Amino acid sequence: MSAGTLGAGSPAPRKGRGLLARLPGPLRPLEAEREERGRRWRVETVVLLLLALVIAVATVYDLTREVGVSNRLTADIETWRAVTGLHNEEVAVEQDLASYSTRDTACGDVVESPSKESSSARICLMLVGPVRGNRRRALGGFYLPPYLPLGPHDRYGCFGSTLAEGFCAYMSTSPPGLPSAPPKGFHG
Amino acid sequence: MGQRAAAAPRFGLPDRVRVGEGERVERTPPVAIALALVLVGSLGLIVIDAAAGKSPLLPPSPSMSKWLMGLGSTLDYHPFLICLIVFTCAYAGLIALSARVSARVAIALVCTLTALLLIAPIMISTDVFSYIAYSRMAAHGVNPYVHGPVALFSDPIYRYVGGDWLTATTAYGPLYTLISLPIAPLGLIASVWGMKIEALIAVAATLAFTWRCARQLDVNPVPGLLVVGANPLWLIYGFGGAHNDLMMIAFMMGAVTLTLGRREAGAGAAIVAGGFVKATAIALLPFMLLARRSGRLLAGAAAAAVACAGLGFALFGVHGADLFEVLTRDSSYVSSDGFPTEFAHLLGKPGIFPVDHTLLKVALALVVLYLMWRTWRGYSWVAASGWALLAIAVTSPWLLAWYTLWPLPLAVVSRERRLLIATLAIQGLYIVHQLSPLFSLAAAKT
Repeated sequence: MSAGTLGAGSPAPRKGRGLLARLPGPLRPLEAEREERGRRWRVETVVLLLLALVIAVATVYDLTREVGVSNRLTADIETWRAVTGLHNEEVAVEQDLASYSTRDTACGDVVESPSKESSSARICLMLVGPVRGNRRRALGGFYLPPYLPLGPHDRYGCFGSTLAEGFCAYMSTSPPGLPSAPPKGFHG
Repeated sequence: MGQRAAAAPRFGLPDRVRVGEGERVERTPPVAIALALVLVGSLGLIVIDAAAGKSPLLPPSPSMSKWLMGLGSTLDYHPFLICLIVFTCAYAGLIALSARVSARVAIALVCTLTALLLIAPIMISTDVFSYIAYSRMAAHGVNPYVHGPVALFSDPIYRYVGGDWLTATTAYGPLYTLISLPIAPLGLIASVWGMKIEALIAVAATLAFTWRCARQLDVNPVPGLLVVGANPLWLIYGFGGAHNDLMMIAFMMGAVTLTLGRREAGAGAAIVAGGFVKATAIALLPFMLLARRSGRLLAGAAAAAVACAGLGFALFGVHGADLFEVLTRDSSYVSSDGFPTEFAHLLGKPGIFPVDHTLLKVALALVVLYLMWRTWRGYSWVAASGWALLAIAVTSPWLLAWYTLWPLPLAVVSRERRLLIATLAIQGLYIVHQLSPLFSLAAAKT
């Protein structure tokens, strides 16, 4: 083999290499391929093109899906602000990862700028349906006391559909001193 | 030449241009000059805006580019993605004209683009801070193969390590940890610069090896230099984040260069050394062995394996072997940019499941076996290695931009033009998938 080649010099099998030379023809190692653009090359190219097509379609589909999800989450935040009348910077949206529906839960503090030292209760809205005018439909909601994560035991003050669905079954009365009335913008 | 031309590998682009032609080009067409200026301009805008500081595209980082502050505004998704699209289109145009670009212009362009990113803050990823944390841990006698960066809780680098990686032990080889050790005693900002310099050396080495390979193959080295050195993912995501994949690639290309120079033992050693930087490089070894069937290559690889493993054992004890467990851990991760995830979404599934991981591993194993068989029957081992690395990236549920760089220099120096097209197409699709903020309402409002 000469310097400057990555394959080899001759397409013929190597000779005089012991065991390898005794292998049947189809199994013997070759120094270079016998034909560069034969039937195999065409089959490989077709397979590659098909794979490329599938990956391209999947990529474009996923791009549009991501844009849709992003717009939905933006609409969730805007709806939360419109319904609660609050203009918090921080509104957390949790997606339904249990059943992979588009029913999202958007939560934010009931005061617009809680100090770093103290925190406030949070109000959460259950949002469903398509995005229309950068808004979604608020089905219902509930409150959470300060510092607690979303959990079935901590919800109180349910309104709208969440009341019927038993979201506040563990805490039938509101903790003293915390807000619990449905937001004025909620017309569930 | 006829027999030689049939057997010798062709350069990726365009294969009819032979040695000396690129270097004899004295006047680069004005269109190519204009495209080069677009590349510099769009990358310059990204760098200037990145230097302005806080951005969703920049990880929290020690302030490194203060002297550029005030020139641009905060780097937001919209300007970044528009610059990325413009850069990518100009890159595609320049690659099409690359045979007519003079060596002087190509080298000047690649140096300018690299220099722009050298002075920029760390882009996109927090990985470089993990590298620094692991090197500091090793310097302080804390084994990075046993503990995560959380063990350095009081170290100033700790706050910059990505939240997901605080408890993660290192997934990189002991040779990389050793190479990073000199950076450990440096201050916070100096250590980030140290990592950038390390990445710069890797970039320079890869480009030099790519150039040398082309010269040894009697083809024009300019297109290869531009394909790799001006690549948007190579520059912005790879070098911009000072990723150690660049060092692994430098070792890989060193091995290819040594093979062309018929220095088989050195080539085997270089591949194994690359594997002890980042394990992915080992993917080249079976193809190399099948194609060359050289005792010296095997001896070089074995000697390097013994030396690197001994070094790892001396520095980190038997825990260096935990690396394999870490690699198994990492292979179970899923990123939203992975093509398997995209395909799962296309099929209406919410994501990929453990069974999908198994199916992907089986598919990858079949592809690698097929490539090994092809290599045995005379297919270029460099092209087969490139295809294998591309297959690893495409089937990996945990795909990051710099993984798509692995096959790029191999595609450039191999005889397989399809590999180069496939690699660039996969990179193009990766970029397309990044564009969702461009179309979303939230980004439109900012």
